[in-house]
Amino acid sequence: MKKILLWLSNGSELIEKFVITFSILLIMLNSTANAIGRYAFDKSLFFSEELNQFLIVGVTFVGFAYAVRKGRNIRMTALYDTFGYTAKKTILTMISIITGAILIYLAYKSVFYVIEIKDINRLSPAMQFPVYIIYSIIPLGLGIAGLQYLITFLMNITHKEIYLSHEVIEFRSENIGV
Amino acid sequence: ETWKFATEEDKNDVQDIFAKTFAETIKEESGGDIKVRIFYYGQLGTENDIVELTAKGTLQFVSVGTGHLGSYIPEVQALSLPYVLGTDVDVVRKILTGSKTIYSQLSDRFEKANLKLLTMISEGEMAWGANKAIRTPEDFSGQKIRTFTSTIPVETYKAFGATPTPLSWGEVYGALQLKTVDGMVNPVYFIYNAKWHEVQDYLMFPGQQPYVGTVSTNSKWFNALSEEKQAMVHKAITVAEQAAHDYQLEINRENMAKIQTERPDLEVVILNDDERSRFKDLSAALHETFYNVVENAYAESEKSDARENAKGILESLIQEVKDAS
Amino acid sequence: MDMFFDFLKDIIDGELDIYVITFTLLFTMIILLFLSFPMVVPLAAGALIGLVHFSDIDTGVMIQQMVTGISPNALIAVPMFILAADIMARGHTAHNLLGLVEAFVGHLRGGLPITACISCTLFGSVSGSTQATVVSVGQIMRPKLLQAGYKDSFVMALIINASDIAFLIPPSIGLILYGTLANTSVAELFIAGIGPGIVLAILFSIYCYGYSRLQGDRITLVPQKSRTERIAAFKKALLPLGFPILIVGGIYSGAVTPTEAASFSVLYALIVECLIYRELKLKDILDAALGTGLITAVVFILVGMGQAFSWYISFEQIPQGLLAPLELEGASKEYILFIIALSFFIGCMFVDSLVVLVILTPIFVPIVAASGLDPVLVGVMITLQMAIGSATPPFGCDIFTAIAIFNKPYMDVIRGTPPFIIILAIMSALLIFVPEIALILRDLAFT
Ligand code: NA
Ligand code: NA
Repeated sequence: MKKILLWLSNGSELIEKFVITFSILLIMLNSTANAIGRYAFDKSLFFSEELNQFLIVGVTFVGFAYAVRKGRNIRMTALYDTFGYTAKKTILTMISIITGAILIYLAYKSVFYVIEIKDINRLSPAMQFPVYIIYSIIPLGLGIAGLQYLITFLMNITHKEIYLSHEVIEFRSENIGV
Repeated sequence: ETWKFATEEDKNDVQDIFAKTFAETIKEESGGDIKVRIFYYGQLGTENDIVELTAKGTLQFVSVGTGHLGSYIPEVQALSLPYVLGTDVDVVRKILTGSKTIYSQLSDRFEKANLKLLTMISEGEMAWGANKAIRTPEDFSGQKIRTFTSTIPVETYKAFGATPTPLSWGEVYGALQLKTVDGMVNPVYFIYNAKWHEVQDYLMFPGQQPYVGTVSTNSKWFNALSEEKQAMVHKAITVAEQAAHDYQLEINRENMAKIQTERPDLEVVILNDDERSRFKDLSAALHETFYNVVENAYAESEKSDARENAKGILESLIQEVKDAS
Repeated sequence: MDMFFDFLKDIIDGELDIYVITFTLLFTMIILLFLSFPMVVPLAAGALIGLVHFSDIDTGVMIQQMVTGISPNALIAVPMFILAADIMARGHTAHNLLGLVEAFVGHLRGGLPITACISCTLFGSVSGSTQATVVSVGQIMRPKLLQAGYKDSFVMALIINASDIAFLIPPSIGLILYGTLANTSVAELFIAGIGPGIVLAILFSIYCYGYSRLQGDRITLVPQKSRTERIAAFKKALLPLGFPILIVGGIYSGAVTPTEAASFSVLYALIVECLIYRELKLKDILDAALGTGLITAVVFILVGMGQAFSWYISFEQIPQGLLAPLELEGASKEYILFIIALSFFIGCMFVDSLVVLVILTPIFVPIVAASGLDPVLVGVMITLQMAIGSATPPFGCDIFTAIAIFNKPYMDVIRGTPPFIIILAIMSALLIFVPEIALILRDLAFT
């Protein structure tokens, strides 16, 4: 069981990394191509903005799940830093269950939003593409992020260490530059 | 009780005047029992957002242009096609408020999105802005024209010989100023409010089409209203339509005068009938585009019906305009 | 006392009074914030309590608005400038720019911190984000400053605050976003940001000089560089210096929009670092893209959730209600500008500055238009407040960035900030009473 979960988790991380990296680079190519096309060849990519918007939705929601995995969410720790072990442990345990619950709730609501968009048959204006297909990434991203927090909660109540995310233990968090 | 009415435009734009008059009338008619809270541009999100929120019932009334509504009700884009409605003020108004095609065939399509079409308003003729006179499709060659990015306007300006260029609203002024793009398309009152006349040297009136706003309500909610309240809504819509119509004529005239005072060197070009007819001929090809756009929005089994239906709507609309002229 | 219980009762009953709603939401959000919840939670909680408890609106609107929040096209500039800066920080660009500045002013009293200030100004002209500036200038300058004997509290405060300069110097994410939200020419905003950016660099440099004098012999001075060394440093910096020329030239010649310029800055950074310096490998670029996506997501989820929260308060028309007693309509321009600055300053102390921008700008735009204030001046003022907020406790993205890259606890990072915040307040006052600092260059360029 644990093996399968681990395997799933690793697989999901690989996909997350790919989506984020690929989307960021594609945004760059797409925007520069549009400008060059317009300036040099009098041809605009009429779908350029729309594609960027889709990519940003992907980066944001998938990247959010990835950030949660890496324990990289922005927190205001001024007060927290002054606390001792017990208080910290209690707070992080509470944070992980509450945040997890809110994200799972939002993931659940976003499933309905996607279904609504599908039923109302919203098409993107430039590419005439069904928007719900892109937006399906929202419940996925929020759901994975929520699960990450719930697993963190479990790790916190079953282990002695303080877990920021299920793979990052407080004080041992790696630093990724900007 | 409080009803909520969202428009895609700013304070004191045509749709806002419509909403305000609607709110006042409802307040009077209900003896103050019903309040209408108005939201304008961007307060509750994008045009798409306010349409969806109305379809859902969070909002009760919404007004947006036909272009944005087209993402949900593709047939409505028949009204976005060039040289279908034309720009004769009385003809346009007669069609937009009383057309059989719009209020039976087209309004059926609104129900599918849980919306009920209440009325449509013209916000004035769409003028072309540029830094040179444009009288022929050849003049359009190499001109980068900023348009709304949906298929119909993009294909329209391609057909006219220009390079349609998508650009978000906030970037337009700077882009016109620095000549990143050469021109844009909008009603006069809007051009003045956005100060775009400061960065354009020519304004063209091609007699192509008005900017059409649509006012809709949540269908389920409306049908559940008492007959008395439904009558109240209809009355307020009629009063508001009149106010918006008067205001539209006034503000377009006023802002045109202001443009000419502030930019005496800006040239106004009114295309003559011969010149217009060339663009009109080119726009015939767009009818096919419109049918394709509608067809694309339907599942495989419904495609041919949808196409026929769209064809029916467009053809009878054109006939109605002809009869009214 | 009765009043207090009435108030509590109103809250429990979910009575609709904007003061009750505002109090409840603010109170909840601040508690969650100080408990160190991920920032997205206080915003989500604010929106949820409002929608469910006070208004009974389907919470699905939050999802819709999160997407709306991250959809403006101008936001594309955020990941692009971060990516460009990251690539430059990994390669030679930042080093070479700093080397140039150090070669000329490094030997003066306070020369090293002044180098940091001027480098932020120069680096600002290739980077649109304060965070990127903290990382690139910070990583290079901090070891040198510590070695020379400067206190770490001073060094870290200097770096997170000097990054504000980079935010005012074009290109700037803050100016682009404001221009988009307020429908104001970004090209004019860019020009107008230069003056205040330079004045701020001078004010900081004066403080650095004074600080260095007071510390006296604790600080070792760097030997003066020879002429040949200076020429060598200048040559090395030529390519990075070509960068702002290309970007600014591209925008003002109309070839690219400011948003697209951000993407071109990535392209330029790639060409310089990969093809010319041959410093970076494909793996570095993929790493940079991943890191950029990560930061973008962390910030954008806040922008999205901020939009959801702001949707709710707009729906209840709370900001209008709260601003009404301030009697802004018909007030003097200075007063309005002061209120705007104060609102943004307070907002940015608690919430990510991009989120504050998205929430507050639309509220102030009509007031600005009615007052006759120059929207370009307002944009520069707002951007300055956003920059200040990014380094002001309790919440500031530059503080978090510094914590992450210097691996120091929160309190250590913010200890030295007060003098800088005083200088920034002086800068804000200058902008109110001497608006020409921002507007003179704009007027020269555009009339
Ligand atoms: Na900058
Ligand atoms: Na800063």
